[in-house]
Amino acid sequence: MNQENFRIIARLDIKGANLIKSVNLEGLRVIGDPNTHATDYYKDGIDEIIYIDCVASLYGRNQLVDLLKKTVKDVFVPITAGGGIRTLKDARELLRNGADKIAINTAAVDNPDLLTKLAREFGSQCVVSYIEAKKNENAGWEVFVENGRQRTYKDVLNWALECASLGAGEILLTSIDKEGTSTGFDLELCSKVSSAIEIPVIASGGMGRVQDLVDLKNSSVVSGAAIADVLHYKKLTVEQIKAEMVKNKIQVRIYA
Amino acid sequence: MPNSYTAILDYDCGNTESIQNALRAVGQNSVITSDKSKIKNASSLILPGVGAFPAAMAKLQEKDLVESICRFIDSGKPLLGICLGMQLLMDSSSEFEETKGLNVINGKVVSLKSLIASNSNRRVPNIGWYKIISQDNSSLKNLLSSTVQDDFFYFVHSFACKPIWKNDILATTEFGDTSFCSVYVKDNISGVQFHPEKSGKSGLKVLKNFIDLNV
Repeated sequence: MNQENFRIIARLDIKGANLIKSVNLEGLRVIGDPNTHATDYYKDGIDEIIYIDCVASLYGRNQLVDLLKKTVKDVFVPITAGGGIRTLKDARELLRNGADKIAINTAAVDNPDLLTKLAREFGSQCVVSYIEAKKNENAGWEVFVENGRQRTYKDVLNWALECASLGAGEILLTSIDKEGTSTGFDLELCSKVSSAIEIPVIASGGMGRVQDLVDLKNSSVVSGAAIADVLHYKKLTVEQIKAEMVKNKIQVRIYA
Repeated sequence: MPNSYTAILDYDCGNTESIQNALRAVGQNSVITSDKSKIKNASSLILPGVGAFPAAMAKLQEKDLVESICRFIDSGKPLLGICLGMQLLMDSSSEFEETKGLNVINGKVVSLKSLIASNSNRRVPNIGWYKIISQDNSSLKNLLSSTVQDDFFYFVHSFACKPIWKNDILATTEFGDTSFCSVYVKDNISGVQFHPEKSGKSGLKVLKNFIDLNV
């Protein structure tokens, strides 16, 4: 039976014009020019790019459009854009300027109906529900919004199910606890969410070495992983990651 | 206005700029337009599509573009439908509600879910990089010339075309224990389910082939 090809996705968090990096979604640190990084990853065989504007939701601004316009001139892989999308108009502007998918977090929690409206207008396949999950004291996970700054008292599993039924076509699942720590993915979280819902789940937060990806793939049915630090700090190249995945019998796209 | 250009149909339902960038990368001039005379005078036409079938059909009608597309097809110049654009050229689709399409390629657009067993290992939407299997053994110059069996293309879709006539199917893509039509060609009309503008070098090759069709 024909299998899914596991996707290796570069996640670039943006603040203003800079590519930034955080730990547990806090303590932003400037890394460099996002467009240069995105272009390098493309040349190296990345499967997708995710741009998240970390401050858009807070300030209601969106500088992603300018960045997208630049990136899509040289980068011919799919780009997901997120951060501060509140309306169909916001989404249309990003899609029109080169985004292939839009990731919604805060606005979906505030107004779940927005996911349905977006799916009706643009199709489910371009609506990504971006979930920030933090482990709670009851052995479950709570949904956070505003880039990990604000709790919602929503249960992650229930919310993921709701997002799927509202029309989201994909879940981008970030573990706040693991984000930026390079200590591996939250395997339990990824396993629970990906087996509970039918749409693809992309795991984010915690990648430090290729073995973390292998452990992730072998313990859950996630469709891909969004990785940041190891690429941004040039600890590993996309090619090295994929070669190692193949050795571990995980199917990926090989870039000729 | 360049003398020879590809018109990328602008109807608020496509990633038009990405397609324009990809065409630029293969050396082709293009204009993003809904202007009837610019469409008519183009050397080729691309019908993009991101979104849902009923909304996209409604937009085409609202912008009064259906006739322009049909006239372009009648002119014999090459037309390429991408993703939803490919689907719009079929008779009808069952996305959300049964909706009539442009009626150019015979067959329906069906949900991927209806094609696979409920216990399938594959998820819907189908998102990711997959190979295509050419059904055409001839050495004719076509959309897939010089693409090799090792090329991967980027797919993101929940529905797929099911042409009635086997001859219209140029390539298929495996999906769990079944497969779907990933490329069709009928006369001057072609459609690809994947996004050539988002499929790296492999996709650019397909776009180049499309441009070369009328040379």
